[in-house]
Amino acid sequence: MTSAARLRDAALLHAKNICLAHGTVAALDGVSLDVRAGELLTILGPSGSGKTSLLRVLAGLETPQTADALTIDGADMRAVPAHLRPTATVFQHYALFPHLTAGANVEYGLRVRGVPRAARRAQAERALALLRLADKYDRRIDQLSGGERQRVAFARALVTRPLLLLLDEPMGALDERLRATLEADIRALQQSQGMTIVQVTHSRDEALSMSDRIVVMHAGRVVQTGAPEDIFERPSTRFVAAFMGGGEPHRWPHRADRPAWRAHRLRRADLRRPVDRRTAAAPWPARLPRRARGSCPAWRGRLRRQSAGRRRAHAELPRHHAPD
Amino acid sequence: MDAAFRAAARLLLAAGFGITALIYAPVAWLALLSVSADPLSGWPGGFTTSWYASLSASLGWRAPMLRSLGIAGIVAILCVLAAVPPARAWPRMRRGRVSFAALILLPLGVPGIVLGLLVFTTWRVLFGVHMGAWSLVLSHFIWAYPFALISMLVVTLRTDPSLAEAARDLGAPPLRVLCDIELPALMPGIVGAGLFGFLLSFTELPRSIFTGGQVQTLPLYSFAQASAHSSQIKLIFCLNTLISLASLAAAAVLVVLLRRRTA
Ligand SMILES: Nc1ncnc2c1ncn2[C@@H]1O[C@H](COP(=O)(O)OP(=O)(O)O)[C@@H](O)[C@H]1O
Ligand SMILES: [Mg+2]
Repeated sequence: MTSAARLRDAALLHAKNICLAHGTVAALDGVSLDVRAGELLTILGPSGSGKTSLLRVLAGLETPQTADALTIDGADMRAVPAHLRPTATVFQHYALFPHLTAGANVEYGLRVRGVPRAARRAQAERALALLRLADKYDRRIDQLSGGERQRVAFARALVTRPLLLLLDEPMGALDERLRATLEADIRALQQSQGMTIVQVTHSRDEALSMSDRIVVMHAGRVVQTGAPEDIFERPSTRFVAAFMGGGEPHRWPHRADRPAWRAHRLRRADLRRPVDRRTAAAPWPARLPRRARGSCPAWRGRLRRQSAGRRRAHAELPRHHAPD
Repeated sequence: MDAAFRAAARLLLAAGFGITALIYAPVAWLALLSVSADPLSGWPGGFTTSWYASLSASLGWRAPMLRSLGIAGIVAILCVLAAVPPARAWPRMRRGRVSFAALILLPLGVPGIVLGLLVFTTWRVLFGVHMGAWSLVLSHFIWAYPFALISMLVVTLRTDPSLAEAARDLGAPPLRVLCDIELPALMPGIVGAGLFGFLLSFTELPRSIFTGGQVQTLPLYSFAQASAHSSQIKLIFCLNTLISLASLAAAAVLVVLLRRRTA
């Protein structure tokens, strides 16, 4: 048995070659991902790199154009609708139901599963207590602070006992102090409940401080996967190096990596493109060149037409970054 | 600059109160006339409750009233049922939003009499629609639907689509998502759409003149009594006062209910 096959057998989640396009924008371009049971995996990448899209595909809220495999705990999920998947999501802006109390929000997942009233109330109270919200059961959502809403969203996802917990920028809107407590909360929950968590963030520090493994994404593709130390100390591409700390790649071991190196040169067309405020200062191109794509047959023709103009700009660039 | 701004603001406020007074004053005047000895003179005086006594003794207005209530109720339900699906779809439409809205709203520019005539001439001849209760429902529905749709759109455009996704993610099948999450969020729009349908139908006259056939609604009855100079005419003052007060009360109750639901 190869080591790759062994990993796949141990994996709680196995996704292979997932391609998702919104119109002509390729949000996910051949993404593969394996998550082991009980691990906290962080998907790290600049905004617009496809992190939210990937979580939505895992949750079943988005249907990819292609997916060679998508299994959770060995079961094929590709034809399973969102409400039957063993996942639960904490959304980027929480998406708490405004017409229900905090307690009723937490109970909702149990209510649709037909859990009797008394039992679901007990479970909801326990989940709220776990997140230090025991006295907020009857509060309306608009009477809660940002950090409290965050934790209610958490409790709501936890009570359904998902096999896989998906967190979309869970600390995005919180200040430093709340961030630290919540980070500890997430870690404690994951360890005490043996929960498998996939977390999305654009913050390097968040990813480094709490992950078992990090997957770095850029322009809809996975560019590196590894333990936090590996990614920090041995970034495989200039993009990852810049994103993780601003330095050069640690080393450049294999010839096979060279196309990737070439892929990340700055190109004039990319410099002219308007970019997101958060990534405006980033010294890497906002998109991979066309050559880096290819695993998603569904839209190859369409994107080729689109990128004809950009290819011309590419040809005019000075060559000082070229390897060899 | 600042002073001018404040003066303008005060002027606008005064204008607002003036317009509000223009709306409520006739209702108050009507109420005064209904308890006057000679309402037809146009001036209150010699106060009496005798017209109310004869109204309660008279029977002519009861059948039209019940008929109007029934028709308005059906129009209200139709408006809600027909406004919810397109209003839910509208925020998700990629293309053609503006032309869709224009298509729905343009009929508002068709004068009521013309619409009544259209239903009377074309629908009757082309589709064999019999002029009566159902043609009334149809013409009232055509009249009220754009208002109902706007009322729904205001709500659906503000509703966060990620709530429905969160519910699905938590394991709710589509029908549960609709009942538990979407309908409560849409409730203000539903109430608004129903209210528009009901009130616009209940008070509708120009279209009803053509589409009513032999069926008499309350506005048609009032209109007929008033133009015939019948002895009933003084009762119309009482009747309209009561109806105005009832609809004002209903609107007030709904506003309170909606505030409580959406707060
Ligand atoms: N509903 C959508 N319609 C069109 N484009 C979208 C949609 N959702 C996401 N995208 C595009 O897909 C890309 C990836 O987005 P997303 O997954 O939200 O990135 P991230 O979460 O990493 O910031 C972006 O370029 C974004 O503009
Ligand atoms: Mg995102």
